[in-house]
Order: sequence, then structure tokens, then C-alpha cells
Amino acid sequence: MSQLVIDTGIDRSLVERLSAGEPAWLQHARLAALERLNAMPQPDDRTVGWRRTALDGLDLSPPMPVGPEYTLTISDADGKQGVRATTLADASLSGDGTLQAMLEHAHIGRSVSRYAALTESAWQAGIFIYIPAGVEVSEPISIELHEGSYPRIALIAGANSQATVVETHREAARLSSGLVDMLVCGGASLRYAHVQECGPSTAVFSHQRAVLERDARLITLNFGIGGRLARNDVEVELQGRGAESEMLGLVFAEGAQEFDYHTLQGHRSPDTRSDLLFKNALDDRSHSSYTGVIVIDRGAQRSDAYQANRNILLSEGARADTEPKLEIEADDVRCTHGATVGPIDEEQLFYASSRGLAPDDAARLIVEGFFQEVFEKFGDARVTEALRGRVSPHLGRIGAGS
Amino acid sequence: MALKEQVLVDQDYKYGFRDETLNYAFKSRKGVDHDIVEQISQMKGEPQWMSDFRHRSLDIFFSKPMPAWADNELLGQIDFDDIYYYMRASDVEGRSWEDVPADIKRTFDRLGVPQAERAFLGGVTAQYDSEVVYHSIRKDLEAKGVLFSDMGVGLREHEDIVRQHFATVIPPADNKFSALNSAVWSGGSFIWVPPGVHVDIPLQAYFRINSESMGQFERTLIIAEPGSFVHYIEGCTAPTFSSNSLHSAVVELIAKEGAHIRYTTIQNWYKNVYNLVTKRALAEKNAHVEWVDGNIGSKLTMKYPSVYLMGEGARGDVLSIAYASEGQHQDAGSKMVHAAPNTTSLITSKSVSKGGGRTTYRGLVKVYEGCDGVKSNVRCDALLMDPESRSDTYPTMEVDAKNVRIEHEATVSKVGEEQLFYVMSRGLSEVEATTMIVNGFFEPFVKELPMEYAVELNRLIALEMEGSVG
Amino acid sequence: MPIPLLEIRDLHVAVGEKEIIRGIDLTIERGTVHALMGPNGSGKSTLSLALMGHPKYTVTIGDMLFEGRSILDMKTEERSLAGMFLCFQYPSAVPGVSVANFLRNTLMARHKGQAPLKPARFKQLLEESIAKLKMDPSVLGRYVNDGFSGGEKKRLEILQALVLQPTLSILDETDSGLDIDALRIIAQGIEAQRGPERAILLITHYQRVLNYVKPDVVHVMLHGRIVKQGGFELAQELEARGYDPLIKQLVEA
Repeated sequence: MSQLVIDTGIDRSLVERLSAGEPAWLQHARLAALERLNAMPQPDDRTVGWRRTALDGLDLSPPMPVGPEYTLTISDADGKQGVRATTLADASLSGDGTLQAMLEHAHIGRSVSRYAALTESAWQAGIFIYIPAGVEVSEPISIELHEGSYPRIALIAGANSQATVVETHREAARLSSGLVDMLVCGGASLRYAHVQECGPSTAVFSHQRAVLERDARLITLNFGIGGRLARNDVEVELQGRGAESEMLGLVFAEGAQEFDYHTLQGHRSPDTRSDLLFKNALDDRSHSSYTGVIVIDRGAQRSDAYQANRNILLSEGARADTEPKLEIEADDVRCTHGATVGPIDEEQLFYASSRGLAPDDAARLIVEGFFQEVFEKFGDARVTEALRGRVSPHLGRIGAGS
Repeated sequence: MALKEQVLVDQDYKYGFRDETLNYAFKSRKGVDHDIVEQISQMKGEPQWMSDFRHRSLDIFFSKPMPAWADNELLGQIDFDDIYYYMRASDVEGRSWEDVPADIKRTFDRLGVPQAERAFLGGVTAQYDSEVVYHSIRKDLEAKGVLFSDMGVGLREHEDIVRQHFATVIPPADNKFSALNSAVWSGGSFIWVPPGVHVDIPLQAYFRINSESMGQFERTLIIAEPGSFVHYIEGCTAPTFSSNSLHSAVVELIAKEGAHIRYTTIQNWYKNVYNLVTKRALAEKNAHVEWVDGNIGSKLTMKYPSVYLMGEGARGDVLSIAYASEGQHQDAGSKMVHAAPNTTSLITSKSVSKGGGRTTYRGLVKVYEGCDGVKSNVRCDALLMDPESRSDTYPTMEVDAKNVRIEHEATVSKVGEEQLFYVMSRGLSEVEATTMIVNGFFEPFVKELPMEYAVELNRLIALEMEGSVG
Repeated sequence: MPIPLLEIRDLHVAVGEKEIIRGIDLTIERGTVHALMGPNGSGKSTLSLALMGHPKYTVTIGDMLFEGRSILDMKTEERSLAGMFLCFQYPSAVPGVSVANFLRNTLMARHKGQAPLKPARFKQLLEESIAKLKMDPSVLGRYVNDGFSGGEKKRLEILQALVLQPTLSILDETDSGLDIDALRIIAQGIEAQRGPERAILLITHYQRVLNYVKPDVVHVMLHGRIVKQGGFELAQELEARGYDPLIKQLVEA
């Protein structure tokens, strides 16, 4: 395994240097992550889960840490309400046990990803956002990342608070691997959008982990139109009774883009509810792979879970894989999943053509309609109107080839 | 298996046959190596190519690891050195119906197993050779030119056909257990249906002459020439006895242009048996292959009947049910590989888990590039009977062609309290009501079975629901 | 006095912690038809399900006697075999089980230890009942309530009552959601369950079914109690003026 340490360039002395001035528990967490990283080989096209991802010409070796460069916007009114943002490094010194508990145990999830471990050991500065209990945040909190190899964000939504957070990625370097930890406290309601518009040659990884306490509610949206390769792991743990999660995904892929999304809906307590809708439209030679699992623990009775992955293939060369999985150990549950892959519905195309639309215009309109359901489910028009605007130029290129 | 565990299993399975009722005339020593394989080949007087094939396969078996994705907690319990790989129960040949133990006869009665099948299950081979009915069936098959025999006989008498097709669908290297079967296979059916011939009655193992009793490592090869049809039924709902804890069969089907093969299995092995079976079909142009597959017994079943749709217009169907109670894991599913345009597949899987049992659906639908017009529909429904049981669904869809329609849907639910109350309010007990609901759940499968099997299966489920089959 | 067919004494029924029925006394003699009326949420359906022993409904106080015997310890199927029958307001679907098969099984449950109905007689009974309810004979091959319309479900409930011939029929809003022609047919089916040894408890929100099935006694239920009893004229009064005057009157009292 020592070879791999040399290979990554991320070694113990570097991690210790990055960790200078941090509390001991945080340094321990970084070093533990480094150990996990070193125990996992660099993925290639024979690695489980990577077999069908085209990795040719991609250098996925970890770069030396740079950044992050970002713009963070919190409205004045919300600042006055006590919503605050600091670096994660500073926040870790405040002695808040909540943050420590959150960061120390965050990796104990289901998917032990190499890149999550990498980021967890090599992040710099970090971003910490705190929404105090009971606060209703009036404007979406926005984080725009321009540069940074290992951006890390921690987010705590205090009890009964309400907020929308949008994280936009515009990195253009060879590789960026982000990590987001969210804690949604009792009765809180959080909307979180991950918007990925990275450069055309960037390999971008994002690992998002959320823990929901009792009666908490979380809506996540993974919006992907950028990057050469995008791998997202979205894990939602419904720890508290009555917690609810809505997970949304939207991908428009063109050229030789690769999207590889993994999701977890973890029902750990009774009376929890989760819904998932990931929609992909794939043009040119792009490829999408979706792997999602619903886990219902023994004792998590009256769980209600739904999972759907819908793929539209817009071109002969486009490919889609889907693997929606269920692991159910409680009997009093309602659990359904579905997946579809196919071209645009011929009847829809015909109908649009009969109204005088050219095939490509009809296709654009139908794909817009296909995405509409995702935007509606997110439920915050301030965010989704902007996103609709971001995806629309891409739809205009349907049929143009590249 | 430890003695205590064996006893527990036996008590749990009151209908099972007992070990001591059989005396084997020839038994190889335990474990498997090249000497054993050579011995098997010599005993059978096989041609050199088959002998070479066996030895090659054994090396593959040794070199292959256990599948990483499987239930390795159960699989890991198999001790390959503690298994007899070949035995010939020669005394069985001379057994008569009177020798079949009384409790087994009673089971047959309660299940309503047909007479001929009872004889077969009871190991009575001498008797039905003279039975008029089956004699006429065999006459009929002969007249049509259908070849139907034990696999060993098939190899001796029709070596050319066997050699041309054998292991072309499932090579030994496919997986660890197909490699093992390829090394030590014995028994199974060989069927060849001439072009255009329609075999009206379902063929069943007990119609065969010189039938070797159902083995642990049987090998079945069915070749349907262009435009022909054949329906093969193996197993039955009555308990299938095995003295060995490992059953690993290989079944290869070849449906040539426009041919139609239906293969029906009802697996009800003893609950100490590992049932690790590789079943695969090749469907050529406009051919149609149907797997109707029921899994009730065994400790661990791993079985994913597949269809490789190689010719345009080919069609593959899998209709399966699985029932797992305490200590059982039914890990079943299907693979549909679309390698030609305008091919269609339909997978319908239904499972019931009860008393801590576990069912898994594992499936793959693959569409190769350029295969436009492919349609595939997968539907999995799982029913959980109590909070101790478990259901997993692992479907995979890999789609490399645009103009296709691939759909998958699965649900997991329990027997509804309201539904149960409704049926009970009409005067049925909880057991009767549950049985009725489960039978209804399995109905789409049951109605595809020949009548006597359908009746049997419904009764079997009723016995299972009673919680005791005594 | 003969023993009443059904006697309910100071019945209290709870769902979980919540008490829905708060002290009901009701006696039904053989040969009579009782109507139980009341607005939505008054506890009518709860009473019907509690009578049939639904596991979610707990009797906290009081007793229910059928033919003089307490049924509290009887299982649902035992109550059914004893001669009680509930026409469900929302009957469950039993996919994969055909109507014919379902009815055969319910009849067989009633003939334990005896020879069940001869196939010919069973067929005749089904055909007569289906004709009476103007149902399509193909219903026998369909799965119980699976994909049935609201009206079809109601008819199937009545069909079961005709086949099983219970001593006490409890009809929970069997008249709701039906057009006038369907209502007339269903009412004939209900009428067919009258008999000197039998009785009917007709639970309804509206009076209109009572024009076809004349009740001997009308009970009005509100907030888990029976607040008024009378003859057919009480039903007519409710139809004309609604439940509000009655509620107002009670609040003032």
C-alpha cells in the first residue's frame, strides 16, 4: 500500500501540515481518512462500479491541494437573524460538540468512497454554515466555488429552522473532489441544491451526506450539466422518527460526458418517508450510470420509500445504466421503485410535430417538460427559475451533434 | 453438517426422505480431484474429448473464487471436501412402490402427486418402464424423431449432436459452479427436437428410459431445431430428496430460428441443500424461450435463468416465484441479454419471505449497441409476512442503444391487515386467509403450470402456511 | 321474551388512545330491520368494524352479545361462522383469487366436517344470485374487488351475503355512491336478506335507501352515542331538515 501513498502525493506529513492549528480530534479524523484512502486502490475500468465508465484520457490521480476560491452570499436580513458562515477550520476551534460529532462520524456511511476519504484528509479552510434554531432564512444562501481541489462544506440547520442553500461548482481544473456534510435538526426544513457547471475537462466528485433528526425534512437537488466526468454520492440517513427526504436529480449530458450518480435512502427509524426522482437526458456519446439503494432497517416500521430513475436517450451513441436496489428488513413498509430507459416517446413527438414543430424543437420542448417535474418538486422557484435558464442553452443544441 | 443440525433439519422437514433408506452400490470417496474425475469418466466409458473437458473444467473450478456479491455467509459453509461427487444408486433400479416409506406416500397423497411421478420420486424405475401410458408417449416421440434420453445415453448414442452443442451456451469458465458441474456431471436430460416438430405433451424426466435418478450434478441440454416446440418440466412440488447438501446443475437450451422452448421448474429441495444452478438459453432469430421457475425448497438457491437473444425478433420470458421461510435464502432472478435488434424480454418475479426467510431478486437486462427496437419489462413484487423476514432487489440495466424501451418496477409490501380482516370476516381463519392471499399473489405463476402441478403447488403453500408440514 | 339476535350493552370502542364510541346500547330482535343513521365521523363505521372484531378497534367497556352469547372473545372468522356478516364500506382487493374461488372457500369454511355444497347446487346458487343483482356472470372469473368500480364492489358485497345467507347482515353505507338504478337493485338484494329468523342493521348517511328497505327502528348516532330513536318518520325528518337541528337541540340540552 505504500506505493499508493507515493502515487497520490497526499501523505501523512502533508496532512499534518494541513491540519496545523486544528484541534486534535480533527487531525485524527484527517489521518483516519488518509488510512482509508490508502487502503483503497485507484479505480480503473475493472473496479466494481466503474466498469462501464469510460475513463480513457482521464487522469484521476489526486492533485496537490489548492483553494478553495469562492463567493458566499448571505442576505443582510438573514445575517441579522444570526445565520453565519465561517471557515470550517475556525468553527472547529469553537469547541462546539455538535460539529465535532458530525465531522468525526460522518464517514460511517454506506459507501466508502475513495474520493470522500481523499477530501476528508486533504481539505483546506472549508466552509461552515450555521442556521440557528427557529430561524426562517429569507433568501437562498449561495456558495459559488470557482477553484479548489478539495472543497469541504458543513451545514447545520438548527431545530425548526428553514433554509435554502445553493452550492454552485464552476471549477475548471483537472480534478475537484467536494464533500458536504449536513445535519438537519429536529423539525428543521432544509432545501439544498448542488449545481455542477464545471469545465469540460474537469473530473468532479461530490460526496453529500445528510443526517435527519426527528421530523426533519430535507430536499436535495443534484443538477448536473458540466464536467467531463461527474461522480456524485448522495446519502441521506433518516435517523429520527418522522423524518422526510426528497432527493432530486437532473442531468443533461452531451459530448462524451460521464455521469455516475449513487444514492442512499437510509430508513433507520419508524415512520420515515423518502422519495427520489433522478432524471437524465443523454445526448451524443454521453453516458449515465445510476445506482441507488433504499435500505429499510429492521424496526423501521411504517417506512414509506419511493425511488425512480428515468433516462431519455437522445442520440444513437448515448448510453444509460441503472441499478435501483432495495434492501428491506421490516415488513410494515411501502416501498416501490422504478427505472426506465428509452428515447423520447414517439406519440409525444408526433403530437408536437402535428402542431408544426420541427423534430429538434419538439425534442427540446419535451425534454424541458421532462425536467419540469424535478423543478416543481424542489419547490423553490427562486432557485429553479435560474437553473432552467442554465440548462436551456444546452437543450437548444439537441440534435446538433458534437 | 453437524449431526445436531442435520437432526433439526430433518424434523423440520417431515416429508423428506431419510438418508438410511438408500444404499449406494458405488460411491466415490469424498472430495474432488483429478483422480475422482478420471474415475467418473472411466465408469461412464466416455470419449476422450469429454474426459479432457472434465479435467479442464476441474482446473477452472479450483482457480475460480466464490462470487463476491453472493450470500457468502451461507456459501462459505459449503465444505467441498465433504461431498460425494459421484454415486450410482444401483439398488434403486429394483425397488418397487411397496418399498417407498409410508410417510412419503402420505405426503404424495396430501399433495395429490400423480402416480407416475410418485414412482419416480420414490426411486421406482423398474415399474414404469412397463406402464402403457408412458410407453405410448415414448412411441409417439420416437415416431416424430424426437430424441429424449438421459444425458449419458445421449452422449453415447448421439455423440455428434452432443459434441456440437455441449457447453456452447454455458462454458465451464462461466462461474465456479458451472465449472464444478462440467467436471463431475452425471445424469440430466438430453432432448433434440427435429425441425418443425411440435411436442404436444410436456416432457418430464420420469418419461425417460434408463433414467438415472436425479443427480446432484445433472447436466441438461435441449436443442430445438428451427420451427419446433417443446415444453420440459423438471422437479415437482413434492420434496426432492438429496443425500448430498450440494446440488449444482447446468441447463443449456438452444432455440434455433422460430423455435419455442418452455422450461418449467418447481424446485422443492430438502432445506439442507445448496442449490446452485446455472441455466441459460440461446434464442436465435424469432425464437422464443420461456423459463417458468418456482423455488420453494433448499437452504440457499442461487439461480438466474437467462436468455441470450442472439437473433432478430427473439423473445425471452421469465416468470418466477420464490418462497423463503426460516433459514432459507432464495437468491434468484434472471438475465436478459439483447444482442440483436427487435428482441423482447419480460421478467415477472414474485417472492414471499416468512419466518425470517430471505428472498433476493438479482437481475440484468443488457442491450448491446445497435440493437434498436428492443423492449424489456421487469416487474418484481415481494411480500413480507413478518418483521423478521427480508427482501432485497438488485436489478441492473445496461443500455447502449437508443431506440429501446426498458422498464423496471418493483414493490415490497406486507400482507395487508385490512385485506386479512376482510377475508377473515367471511369466515376463514388467519392461516386460511393468509394462504388464500399468498396463493392469489402467486396466481400468475400457478396458472402457467399444468393442472396437476398447480393444484399441488397451492396445497404445498397451504402446508407451508400452517407453519408445520406434518 | 326471546333472546335478541344482537344486544349491545354500554359499548365503548377506542382506536389507539382515542375513544370513538362512547357508550352505546342497541338491541336487535330477529325479523327486524334497524337503520343506523348519522353524519360522517359519528362512529357508524367504527361500530360495524368493532362488531366484526377488527384488530384496530378495541372494546374498552361494555359487551356485545350475538344470540345471547358474548362475542368479545370470538375471532373475526368465528363471528362470521356464527352468522354475522359485514358488507364493507371499503372492501379490500384480493388479487389472484377469483370471486368463484373465494366464495367456494367461504362456503367450505361453513361446512367443516360436513359435505360441502354439491358443485351443481353451488353453481345454481351463484347463477341465481348473480341474476338477482344483474351482474355479468364473468364476475366469477375476476379477482375479488381487484380493479372493480365502486358500484361493482357494492354488488359483490351483496352477492356474498346472498350466497352465505347470514343471520345478521350489517351493511355499512352499501347505498352510497350508487345511481338510482343500482340502488334499486342493491335494495332488492338487501330485502332478500329479510326473514323471520334474520335481521339487518343498515348503516347509512342518507334516507333514500330506506324508501326501498323499510326499517322497523331508526337510530341516530352522533359523536359516538345513539342520541335518538324512532320509526321511519325519524328518517324522513332527518332527510327534510338534515342533522343540524338535531345537533343544535342536543348542544342546547
